[in-house]
Amino acid sequence: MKKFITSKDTEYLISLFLSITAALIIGALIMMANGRSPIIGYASLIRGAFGSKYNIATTLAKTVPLILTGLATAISFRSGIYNIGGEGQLYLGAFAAAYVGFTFTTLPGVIGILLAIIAGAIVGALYAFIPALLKVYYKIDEVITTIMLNSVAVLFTDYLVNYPFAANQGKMGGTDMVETSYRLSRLIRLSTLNTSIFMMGFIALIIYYIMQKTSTGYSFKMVGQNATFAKYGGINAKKQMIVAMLISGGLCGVAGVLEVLGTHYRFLQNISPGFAFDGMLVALIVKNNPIGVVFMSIFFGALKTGSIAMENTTSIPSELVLVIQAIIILFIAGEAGFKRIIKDYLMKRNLQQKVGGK
Amino acid sequence: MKKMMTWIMIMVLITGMMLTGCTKSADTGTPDTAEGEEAVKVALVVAGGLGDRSFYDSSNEGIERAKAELGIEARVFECRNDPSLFNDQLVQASQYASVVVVVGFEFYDVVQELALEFPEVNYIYVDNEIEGIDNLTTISYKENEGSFLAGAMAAMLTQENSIEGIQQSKVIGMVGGKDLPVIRNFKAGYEAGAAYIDPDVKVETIYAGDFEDPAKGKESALALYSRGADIVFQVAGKTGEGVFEAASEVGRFAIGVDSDQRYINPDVIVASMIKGVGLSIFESIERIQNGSFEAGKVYHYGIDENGVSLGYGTQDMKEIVTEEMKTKLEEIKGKITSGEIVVPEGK
Repeated sequence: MKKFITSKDTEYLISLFLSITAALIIGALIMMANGRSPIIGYASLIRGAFGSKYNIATTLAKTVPLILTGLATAISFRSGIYNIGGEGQLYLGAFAAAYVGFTFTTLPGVIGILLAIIAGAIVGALYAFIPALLKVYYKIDEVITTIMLNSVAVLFTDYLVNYPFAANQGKMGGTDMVETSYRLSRLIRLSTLNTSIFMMGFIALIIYYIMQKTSTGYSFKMVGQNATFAKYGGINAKKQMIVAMLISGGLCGVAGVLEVLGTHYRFLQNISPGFAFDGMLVALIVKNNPIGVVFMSIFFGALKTGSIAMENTTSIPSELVLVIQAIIILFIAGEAGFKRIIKDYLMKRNLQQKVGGK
Repeated sequence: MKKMMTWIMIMVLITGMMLTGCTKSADTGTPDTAEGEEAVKVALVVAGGLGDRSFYDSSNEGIERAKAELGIEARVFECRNDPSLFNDQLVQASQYASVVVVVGFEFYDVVQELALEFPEVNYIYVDNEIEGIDNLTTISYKENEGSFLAGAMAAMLTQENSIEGIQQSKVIGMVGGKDLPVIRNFKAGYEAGAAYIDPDVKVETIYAGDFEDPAKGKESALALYSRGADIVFQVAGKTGEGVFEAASEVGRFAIGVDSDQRYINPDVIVASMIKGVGLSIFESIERIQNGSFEAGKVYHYGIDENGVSLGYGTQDMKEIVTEEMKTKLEEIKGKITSGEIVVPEGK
């Protein structure tokens, strides 16, 4: 019993599980307060997320950008540099991919796709490089600069898409479509799930390997936990922070690329409904653990797909799911506090039992 | 310790029961849709969300009217401006209904793709132009014609210095939702209309960058009023609510859009440029029912088709636009339909 509670991972998993359960129960109470049956509500949510091949595919399609941006957040937060600019990096990366897609139209498909991914990654990384340099060399808070740069990137692509690179036909606020051979093929009929999920899986494996199995990953962690100590240990903290930021920006860029090549086939003005911020929530909940990011993203993807189905079939507003997500985050954020309360309580009881000597 | 574990187990059991027990009960809930096979099922898919008291609500009014008068059955699918939902919601709608009304230029790609996947479904696509797909009909509006009237009206009003709140400067403004082709079409007409009345009237435009954020609309409108604009035309959907707020704060005027929005605040909203989204949707559904519907075509709704017009609210509201101006505007309307005035288009 003792070992069970000291094992940190298990302890975390229990509190995560409790948080989710509690959030779902609160969600059910809200449904009941509005005169709806939570049983029917959650049933349609689950059916909407996993009910058929199409639904599962839709859920998985939603997880691709979440996992990438979640990993991007995890890697930067773990190194103690807070990249909140994922959204901007994603937009620029997506635009770079679209640009490659409609400009270099004669390349063979595989090379075109690779080129688009590399271009998106580089653009995203470069855009993250600016705040990283400012942070490391001039001590300018990266949280502020990255947030500001989000608007710059979104508005800049808005301009590009409406004036120099506006689509030739149709009214939609987007670029021209990318070359047919560069489009990733769809896997399930009607769903937007496409081969980008395999690419994402491959990238996620690499990131997992870097974070957990290499000395670079270890030094990221050291820098994040205590930069001064890491320095005494012979780690170049500045360099590590910049590298982490570059990887993070690159990942967000790739998330944008895959949206363009896999889902929309062109860059659209509002291409991301806040993927980077959702990814950040995912990473925060699982405390920057790369495996956790994958599972939590699937959970978030399922909630999103399911919530829409729930809204359509039972007219319970899909916003309820945002409430549930927020409550999970609240509980996880308060985890340390809750844990203390529970531990104190247990200790007292233990004491009483021993002193009372029953 | 043991007690805590049992507690956790109980929680697990309860949730487990909630999740498994439900599948059955929900299954029995579904078949009632199969009843009433006579009614045509119509789905309304909107890119944003209902409750904007403007564009999307106008489309819903068309559906509601069809429900009441044509006895259809309808359901609304909202995408909340999330492009990752466009495909999913449209698939859901296509599986539900035999007539799918798609509102929002954003659906350009998705609707073309899915129209081929569901050949038995009739698609009515509002706010864009697509030709050559048999089961896809598009409705396009001549926003520029309606805004021409709005511009002419604003230009006349800004010179009426006797009205309280109208200043000496001849400046009028417009708050656009986003810098997009549809909005630029509004802008082109608005500017041309103002210039038609008086070439000296200056038109200032700010794009709020959002269709759903009244705070941004208010900020943009305040900026325009501080530049001397007397009247601000809002072309920003829900964002426009902020424009009305700004107008009543500084004591100046605004023009509504898409629906007749005067009722929101009749003291500052002088009139609205109505885009007959609801009307055109209702007419299309009606045409489908009586068999005169030409699928695969582009329907253009301009002044002539009653697709765009000016709305002055109801009789009991304070009259700001005078009878004289209204007659003048009717005259301009006539000239547009006869082709004497050619309104430029914004791309």
